[in-house]
Amino acid sequence: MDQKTTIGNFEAACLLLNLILSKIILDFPRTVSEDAGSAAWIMILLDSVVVYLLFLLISRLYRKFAGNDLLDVGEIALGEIGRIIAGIIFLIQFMYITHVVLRQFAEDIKVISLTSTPVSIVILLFSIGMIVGAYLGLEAISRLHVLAIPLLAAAFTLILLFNIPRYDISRLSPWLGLGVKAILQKGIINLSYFSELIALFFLMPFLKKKNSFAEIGRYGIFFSGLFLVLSSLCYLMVYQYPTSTEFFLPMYQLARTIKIGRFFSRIEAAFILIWASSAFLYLSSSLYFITYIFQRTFNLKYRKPLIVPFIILIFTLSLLPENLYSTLRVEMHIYRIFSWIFTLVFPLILVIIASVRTGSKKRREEAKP
Amino acid sequence: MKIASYLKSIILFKPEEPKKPFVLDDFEHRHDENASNRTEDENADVPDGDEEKEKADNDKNNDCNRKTERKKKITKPIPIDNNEGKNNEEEKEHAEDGKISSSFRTCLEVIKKRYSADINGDFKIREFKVRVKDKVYPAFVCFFDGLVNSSIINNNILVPLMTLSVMPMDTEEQSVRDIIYSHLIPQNQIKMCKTYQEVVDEVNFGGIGIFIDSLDVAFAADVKGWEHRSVEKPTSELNIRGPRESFIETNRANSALLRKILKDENLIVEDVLVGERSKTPCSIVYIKNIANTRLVDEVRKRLKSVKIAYLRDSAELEQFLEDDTFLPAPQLLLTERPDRVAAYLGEGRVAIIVHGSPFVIVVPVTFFNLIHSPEDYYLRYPYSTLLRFIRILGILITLFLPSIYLAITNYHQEMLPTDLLLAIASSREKVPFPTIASILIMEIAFELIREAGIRIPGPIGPTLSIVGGLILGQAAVSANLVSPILIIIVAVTGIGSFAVPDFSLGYSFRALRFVYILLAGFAGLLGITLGVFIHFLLLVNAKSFGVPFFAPFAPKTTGKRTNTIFRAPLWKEEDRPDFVNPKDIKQQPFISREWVISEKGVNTDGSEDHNR
Repeated sequence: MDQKTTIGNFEAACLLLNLILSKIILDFPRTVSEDAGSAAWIMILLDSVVVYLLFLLISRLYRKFAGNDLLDVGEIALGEIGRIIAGIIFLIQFMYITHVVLRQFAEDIKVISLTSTPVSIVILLFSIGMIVGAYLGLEAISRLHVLAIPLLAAAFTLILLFNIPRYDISRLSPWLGLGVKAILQKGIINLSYFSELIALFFLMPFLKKKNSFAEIGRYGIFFSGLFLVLSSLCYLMVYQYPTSTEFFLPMYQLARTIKIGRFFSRIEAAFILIWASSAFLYLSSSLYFITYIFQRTFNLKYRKPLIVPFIILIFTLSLLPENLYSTLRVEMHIYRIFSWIFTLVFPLILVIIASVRTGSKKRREEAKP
Repeated sequence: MKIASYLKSIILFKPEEPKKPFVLDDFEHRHDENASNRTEDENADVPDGDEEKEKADNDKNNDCNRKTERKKKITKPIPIDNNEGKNNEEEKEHAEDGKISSSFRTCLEVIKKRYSADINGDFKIREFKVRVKDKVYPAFVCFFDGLVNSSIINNNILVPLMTLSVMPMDTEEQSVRDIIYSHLIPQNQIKMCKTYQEVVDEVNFGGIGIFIDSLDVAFAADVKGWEHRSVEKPTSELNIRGPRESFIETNRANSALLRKILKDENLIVEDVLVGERSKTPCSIVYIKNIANTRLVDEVRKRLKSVKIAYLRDSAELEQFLEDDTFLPAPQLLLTERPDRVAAYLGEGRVAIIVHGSPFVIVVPVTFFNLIHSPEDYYLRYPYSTLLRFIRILGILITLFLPSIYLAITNYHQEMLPTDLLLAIASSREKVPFPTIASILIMEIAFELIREAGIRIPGPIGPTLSIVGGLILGQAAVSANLVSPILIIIVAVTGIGSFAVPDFSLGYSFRALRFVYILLAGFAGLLGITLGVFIHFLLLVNAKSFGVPFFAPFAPKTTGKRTNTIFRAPLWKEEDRPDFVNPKDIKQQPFISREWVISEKGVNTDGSEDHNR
């Protein structure tokens, strides 16, 4: 009977988890092993710890602004210009990752099963799901996450469990992979794997308990870090570096090796369901965030009319790269190098400026009377 | 003359006479005509043969004349009864404010006019005399024959009024009205009415109106006695364990069936009339100190705001009350079992009884309520959990089996183990149609058999089963129309759809499986996933009277309640469902089997006693 959209902690955490983790089923285990060799899992472990600490810092500063999203904080920090600049930056960030991921998912599905379907048709199918999701809004999307994420997590765990016979710890050597320098250097860039954490700051106004965002973020980072480390670790235990850099769909490759008895020898095709549902959840929630950010940035009254223009934009952008390889290049050489600056450092700066300004304002007000 | 003209018409090929076929023209026009006819009729005395002749002559006059004549007649209406001008004025006065006149004749006229007593065959008026305080008052009763119980009217209304009034009574100080009310009508439900409308409403619903001269009130007594079905076994929600009564078409009988189970003075049966013409009595039923007041208010608000001419069944009301018309799932539960409604009332939900419908509406419901069967509670915990598991399997099979078969055979052949793949391929070798065509043919044939099976008259039934067996059987395979595996898939899908306990939800799944088939034909498993995504988005977004449709899972509510997908042991269901927000969340204490304290060594706080 209450018309305002609210989402619970569990729903928000599930949404965050899917946003961060859907890259596992794309190419994450391969790309980390390219960066750090057999020490990929150590690198991502370190990244998780750094992001965790960084989030602790941000959430401590953010406590004052609980219930406001990052755009509000931008406004507090730098006025209306600040809000618009922050909005455009985050909009570009979301648009960029969404169109890349859309193309990647479509290409992957095409490779796995729909080999003779044009990629534009696959993208179109994903777009339909995105439109419906963004149209029905955050409440519906987050509730669907609650139903889907436990199943997806169970399926993911099953893939890892069924591969136990093929694990060999000795494949992890050399333990430091491509060296400490590579781990540290690439580790900083690879903080971008957590860039979807930014979504949490846009969920703020919808949370039932305003102050629980810190808890959601901590659990979200912990579990996403856990799954990221597990996936890279297990993948490397099955395929040693540099073999590990050859498979373009690492998790699919892991699923393919599963054999349970004589009857269930090719169950990897069933994992299309996992791929596609994770993709639908990811894409529809990011389209929601895109329209939400645009609406908030420019103080628009309605959000739903933005859906169709933005989906046309994303659809067109995702068709721009010539093939999967160029899509991956776009992701690896541009997005991942800069994304962490916009999603982890920039919010931190915004929050620091905002808290300094509110602090000084308070002092001034106290000093006045 | 006629014969001559007839012969002439045959020879000259001319029409005999201009024909006047009946045309149902627009209402406004007919209304005017009727009104003018009525004034004509009312103006005339008893019609006789001469007048008819005159009318026939008039018909022959040209149209222009008739129209002007009619216009004149319309513009100058003539009073109904010239002799009783006074009464007429009084009647007008009373008719305006609808209050009952103290004049017996006026009342009689008003009632006769309201009920069109001269043409209404089943409306009866009985005039008689009442003697009170040595004075005789003319009186009359009116009722519908067939709606009332004649013996009650005779014994409890007419006999006392006509005969008992002569008995000596200590009633010197009382007024005539009070004497009649308290001494002369020994009927348990009697209402003193001040307006005609009140009497009319009662009479229309099986009551009797009693009008007595010199009183400015009328009495309306409840003497319902229409034919109705007796309480029988449920027909659509069968069970082996548990009570076997079902609701019937009378709302008071239905509320009594509920009271019989709940025996609680806090059980409120609130009456609301729905339907501007049918004035169907509906009852909102809830337990006062359990049901959430806001929920009851919302039900009352929605029910009172329904504007419909004739309400015949609760399934119609369902369509006026539901939150989302286009959602592919019912958002209200319709059941014919009093025990099921009683259980839901005990959880803090609200029921709506509609007079004339053997199905009672329960709100709010979640998706999981719709896949529960009343028998789940009467069976032991392990069995009912198994039953629910099988039911969910049935739902999944109904929705996905044909589409997954289609997706695998068209797009993902590698999913199948080689032996099975070869078996399917060889069985499909001779079939000329693509898989999607043969699946659609068979599914549509199945739906046809199902639909015809409901509509077919009893004696022809066996024919259908023979023909159905041919279509969904070996004959279809021998004709190389479909593969044998497909027959199995369609049959299992059909059976699965009947495992859904809720009739309406079953329809929803049966309809949606066609969508899934089309999606699977278009894009294989990706298409199915798209369908699941949109389907579930719609479902989780839906609400039934403010309660999310997938509660308590999405959104996750903080209840301990486990009775959703699988059932918990009855003694563990301590809380009412928290998403209904009942006034009292506790259903039973933490230890509902007190004997376990002594026998199993459990402390009252729930911890186990390790010193036993």
